[in-house]
Amino acid sequence: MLSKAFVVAKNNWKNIKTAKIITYILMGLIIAQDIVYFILKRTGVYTINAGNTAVSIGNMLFMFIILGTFSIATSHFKKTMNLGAKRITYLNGSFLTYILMTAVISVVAILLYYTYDRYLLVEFVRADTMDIIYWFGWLGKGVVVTYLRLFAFLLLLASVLHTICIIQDSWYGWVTDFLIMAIISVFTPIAVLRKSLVWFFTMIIFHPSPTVQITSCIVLSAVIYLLNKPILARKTG
Amino acid sequence: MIEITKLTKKYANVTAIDNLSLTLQQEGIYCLLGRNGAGKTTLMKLLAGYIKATQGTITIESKLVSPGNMPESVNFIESGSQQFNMKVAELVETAAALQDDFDLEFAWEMIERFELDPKKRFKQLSFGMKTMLTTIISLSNNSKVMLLDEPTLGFDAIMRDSFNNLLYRSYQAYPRLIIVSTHLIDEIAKITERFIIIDKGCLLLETSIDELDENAYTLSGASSLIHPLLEQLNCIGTTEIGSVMAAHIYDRRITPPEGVSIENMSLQDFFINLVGGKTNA
Repeated sequence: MLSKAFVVAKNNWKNIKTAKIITYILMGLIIAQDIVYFILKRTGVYTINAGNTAVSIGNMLFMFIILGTFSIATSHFKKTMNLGAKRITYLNGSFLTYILMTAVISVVAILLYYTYDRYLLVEFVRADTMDIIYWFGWLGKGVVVTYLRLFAFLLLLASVLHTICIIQDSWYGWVTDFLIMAIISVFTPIAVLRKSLVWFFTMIIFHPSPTVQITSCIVLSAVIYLLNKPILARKTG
Repeated sequence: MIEITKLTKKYANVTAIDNLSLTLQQEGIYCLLGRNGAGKTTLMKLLAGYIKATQGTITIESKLVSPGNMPESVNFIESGSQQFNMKVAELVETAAALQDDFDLEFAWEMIERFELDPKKRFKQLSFGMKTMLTTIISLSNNSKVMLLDEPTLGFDAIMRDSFNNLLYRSYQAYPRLIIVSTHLIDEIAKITERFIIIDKGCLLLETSIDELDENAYTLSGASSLIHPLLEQLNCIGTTEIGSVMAAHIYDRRITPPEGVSIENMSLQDFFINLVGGKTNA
């Protein structure tokens, strides 16, 4: 069972070329910009100013998760079925892809934060770097905790995106879209309801306790995985 | 093996399948015939559990079929099925790794026989070759029921012949129940054993090729001699020119009176007369 899930995961990885290309282009653009600034600074033409901030190069890898998940959920299902896979194998393989992908991307993103991004700050090429591990308050409790918080959050993100994409060809997909929009637009302006939204996002992102945040994300991902079983049983295209 | 009971499928006000009942017990290659819009694809999708019936039931190997309960013993292949843009060899190897009872040897034999280049990527293949590859992958597993929806659509004559050979070779290797929908009746007749003919969502006929050979024939001669015979026979169509006529019969064989000739009806003519149900004068 697991070996077949690995086959699907390997296949998913090989066939998300568009996601890879777009991510590499975005990362390349940031590197190119940094190189230009670096040269200008060394030649004395350029001096750093407060507005010179950039998105962390590691965060660009999250595009890969978003675009990759979109491809796997929208175009890989039918093709995997045409290779004779069972629905459960596709589901297990897809979630295995997300686990491996988010595990590796989290490592690389943190490495880049502590090396590439830091180096540019030290060298005064940038005034600041925008990185979610800083903005979400995931630093300060050790690299391993930061890694686990990022990994759990990205896994939840991939699970949610996968499910939303895969249900778009059914009526409950449209109902879900409507509900998400309704929740955001109705809950945000009403103070009492807004509290529940704040509570939800605190649980999955901002909670001061890493254990609570990591557990919330992992448990929600597992629930979403289980929800995908009946969804896939009815999926035809 | 397959039991369809009082099956109806409606799309808004359109009835695609209308109270259809059919039992298929034997293994074999079944040809599903019908005009465009007769309900062939809808019937296949219902059998595969892709869509929900409005009324009635389908059981395959005693298991009720529905979108929430799709039968794993059924393999449904639509025309123009998509595959990953990988090399032919990679696709076959991946399919073998994903299926427990995939016959890799058979798949390679077929790939060689139909001259598919293992190094070519899926998108580099012609339309016909793409369908051929998808069909080879599907036929190389041991599904008990295969549903092929217009598999030779867009094929040239040579490809169609190759495809029919592939189907026949697969059936010899793995006897099972294969249902093929097509418009190319006389070509599929070379390999098929039984016919299912539907029209406007209703079952018109389920019969064997032997029964058709025996019971489908054309009487030709003077109208005055043929008209009295038709009172006792199931005439599915006539062509009349002046005082001479041809009557297309689907009934027991008779010994024609003098002046009336009898000849076997081609499957194409039989289908046109049965479904077209017309009388030309």
